Amino acid sequence: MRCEDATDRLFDLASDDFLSKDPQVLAHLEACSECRRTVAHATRAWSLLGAAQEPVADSTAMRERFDALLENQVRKSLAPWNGRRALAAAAALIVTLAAGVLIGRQFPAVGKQDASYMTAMRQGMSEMRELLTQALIQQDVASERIKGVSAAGRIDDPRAELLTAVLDTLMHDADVNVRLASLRALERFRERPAVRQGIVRALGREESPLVTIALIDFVVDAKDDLAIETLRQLAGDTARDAAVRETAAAAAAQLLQGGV
Amino acid sequence: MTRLVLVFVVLVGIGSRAAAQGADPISIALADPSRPATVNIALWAGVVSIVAVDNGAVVIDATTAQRSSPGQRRAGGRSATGGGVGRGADASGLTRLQPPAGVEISEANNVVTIRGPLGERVDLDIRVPVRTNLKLTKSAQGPTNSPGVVTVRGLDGDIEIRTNAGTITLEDVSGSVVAHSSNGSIIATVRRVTPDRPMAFTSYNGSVDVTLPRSVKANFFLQSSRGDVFTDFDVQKQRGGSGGTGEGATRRSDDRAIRATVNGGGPDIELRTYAANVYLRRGN
Repeated sequence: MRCEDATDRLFDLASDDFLSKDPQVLAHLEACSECRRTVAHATRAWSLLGAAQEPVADSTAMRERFDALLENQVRKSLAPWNGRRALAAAAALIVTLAAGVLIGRQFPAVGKQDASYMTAMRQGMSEMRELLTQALIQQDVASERIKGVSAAGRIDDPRAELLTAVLDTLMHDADVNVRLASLRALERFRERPAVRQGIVRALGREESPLVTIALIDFVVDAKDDLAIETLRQLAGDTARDAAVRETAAAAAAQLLQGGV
Repeated sequence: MTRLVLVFVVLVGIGSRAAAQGADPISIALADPSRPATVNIALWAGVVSIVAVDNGAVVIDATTAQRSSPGQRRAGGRSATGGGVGRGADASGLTRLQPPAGVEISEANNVVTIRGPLGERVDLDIRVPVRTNLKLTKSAQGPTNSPGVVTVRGLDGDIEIRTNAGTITLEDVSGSVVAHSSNGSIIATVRRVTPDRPMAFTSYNGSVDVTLPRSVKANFFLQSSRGDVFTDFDVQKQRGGSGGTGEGATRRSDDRAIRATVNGGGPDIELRTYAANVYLRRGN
């Protein structure tokens, strides 16, 4: 394993106990002091942020550095998204933030402002997690894209941009399995109007019978009567698979009766 | 540093499998044998066998086995690049006298790309290094137009296979697998899984039969709409979907979907089919 491979997994290393599971990573870390430092910083940052219950030390310089990183590095460097570069940049941001946290702890506490700062910091980390998730969705490897959309489905109250990315994946990804994973990720957010509208659009354009039937299940589960017209069109489309037509017809009838 | 090898293999299909012809196998040396190889294959149709061997090259044996329909043999298509016609040459308006099936093979920076011509069946027998990532797509619709199974043996890497017809068989593979066959079954034996990597094995009309290491940690999504789900893993079923359901709601999808964890849970692994059975087996 080379340094760039370890860097690609930095998010995993820093956010959970993946480190203990992969002997390749362990072997590489034993031989590479630079990667050891990188992983240690990132892991330390996640640990500090996850465990912190009380306000920690702060400084104006630290806050400025944090804001500048979010505004300049993430929102400019990572747009437009570019797979590995985005992941690497986001990983670098985590390491920089970790260094900031460690430096910041050297300063004495400054009082009430720390609580608001920690809130801002947690919000920043949440946004960073969403950005990393969005970067995964752009990866070339299908299992990474599945990982990305699945991670999106586990985020509480994600931003509209992230859900739009998942919807876009549902509608355009070439891989059936990635589209199915995207659909499952959206289940938690099926009450959002944008998600409902996106699902109906996807239903009208989906060609795979397996995904189409999964989409039909989704709109029935959501009792989404906005899908009735699309379901009727599917039911009457003789070019479609017979099971798709039957399922669509039954779903339209069910929704017309209020979804019961 | 980027090295590019471009090879055009010109094969002549004679019209029946018995009369199939091919060229000698082509050996593509990797730019850096110490790194994993990546093999990207895009075919219209054909039987594909990919076997891992202990060498630093990708060896490709391509054979045409079936002629396409007359409408697909008109000049101007990609296959017009074969038979001595330069790549991209304009052959529109001309009649091809002896239609070739051109297979384009290229290598750049450890990535070997193999492309078959649209409308032509090409059978591939490929030997690759063990550490190889594979991405294979077969685009022909329907079993009658798209014969051929895909067999992969011994690879260790990211394996992605997508086909509209034909069974996918994965034997003794490691890494991560994302596989789909619309009209064929999926039979897979995974010896070792990459930690923290989701996997998916899905079919529409075929069965899904997957053997995973008994120590695998995973969150499973198992579904057969018209069949049954079988396993010998000690699974812990989870109630409902990730988003939960309203009481009394009519649950179409969850009528047949099973969410379960094994060995404490881990990355998501999906096994799904519409029309046949799902088998999740515990390996060694």
